[in-house]
Amino acid sequence: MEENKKNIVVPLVIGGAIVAVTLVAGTLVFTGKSNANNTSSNSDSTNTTSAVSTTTAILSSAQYKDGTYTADGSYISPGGQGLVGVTLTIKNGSIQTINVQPKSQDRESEEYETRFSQGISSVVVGKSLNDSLNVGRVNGSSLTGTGFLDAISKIKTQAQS
Amino acid sequence: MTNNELLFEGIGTHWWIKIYDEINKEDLDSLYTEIISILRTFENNYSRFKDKSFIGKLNKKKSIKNFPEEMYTMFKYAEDIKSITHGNFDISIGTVLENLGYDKDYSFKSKEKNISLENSFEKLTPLEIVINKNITVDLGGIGKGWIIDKIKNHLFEKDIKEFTINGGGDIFSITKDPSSFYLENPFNIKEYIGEISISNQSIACSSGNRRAWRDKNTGELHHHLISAKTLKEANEIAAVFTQGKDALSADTASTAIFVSPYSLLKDIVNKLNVEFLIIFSDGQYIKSENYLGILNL
Repeated sequence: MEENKKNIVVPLVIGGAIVAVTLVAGTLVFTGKSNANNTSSNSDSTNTTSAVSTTTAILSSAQYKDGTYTADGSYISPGGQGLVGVTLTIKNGSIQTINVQPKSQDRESEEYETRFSQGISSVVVGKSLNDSLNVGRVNGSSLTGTGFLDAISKIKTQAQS
Repeated sequence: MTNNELLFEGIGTHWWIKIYDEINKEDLDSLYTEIISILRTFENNYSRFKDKSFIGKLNKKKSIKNFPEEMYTMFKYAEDIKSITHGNFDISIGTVLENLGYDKDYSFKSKEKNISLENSFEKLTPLEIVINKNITVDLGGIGKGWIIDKIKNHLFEKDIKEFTINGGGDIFSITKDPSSFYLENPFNIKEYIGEISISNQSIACSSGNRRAWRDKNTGELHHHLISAKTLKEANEIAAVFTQGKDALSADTASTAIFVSPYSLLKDIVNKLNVEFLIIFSDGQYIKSENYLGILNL
């Protein structure tokens, strides 16, 4: 794994005085695609995300049977066309657990990735994200958006008693 | 004590809010209801996709007289950013997006190509806004940061000490010990390329690969981060990560850096007082010295 770092000194003007600022530059280094063990290893079914207020509100106006439900919601917004999977369990009429997983990207998103990736000789070092647990912990631009609500509406239909 | 997180959809993205203070469930539920209400109101007021929003009305009639003071403040802020980016960042970008088919029906069919964003505002005062009849306004470049700060301020007013707000990957977080967040890989959303630990700060990200669509007329692939000056999508950068005191400056900076030429980078970060990490399309990166994120290398 090679690192190519160089320090670039760039003058910045702050409040009238020129201040030299050191940037750090380099190349994202590529080895194989890494689906290595996620460091957030509590990534099994005993996730700690409990009932979510809004989702409960969405489901609260009707009677829903206890059980575990899964549905895929599709992106219908400009966020790209793809799927998000939602799994939730209902007990005594209220949500006990909920999992949200972005699904594999559609062809167009993949093509778009390729377009950006041209010139890269190998794959960036990345560690896998368990998005269902880390949905609040990601600084990025993923849009799972309306797919989530789409999945919830399908679950409502499944779960109605 | 419950371990609740609030998850909901708003302004076209996925929200995650967690409050760490020990408060009872009723108070927590009240707070969540208030937060959702703040966001829904903002959406109803300013979404380009709602005919009855202030933006919808302005875009339709090209002028507006009764509007919230907040709208004037946002427009003035946007004017500043337009100036510092030499016109590359401009809220009249709605015009371009509509022409590309990024409209409320998500038709994705491009319309006519000749548009000019010069002289987009004919009047901008607290009492009246008038825009050029050929343009439409979109607050996407600053709206998310703006609303995150509104929610943040509401929680501070309610004396909440520790919380995290994540609006579609733009975050404000304050916790006693710094909290860590993963930096999403712009080339593969299922991976992260590093981590950043912050407290009482905001981090944002702009990337072209999340709001992409294929034009149904031409078959061309487009994304939403377009320079208002060149009217072209910014292609050299894969992602911009920023770090700042508040969500508005972090969010605005990430968009502004993305759509502006490299020569304007230092002016932008200076004005908005942010640290940054830029990942280029070919995998090269640069970051400011005080950017707290650490990359997996």
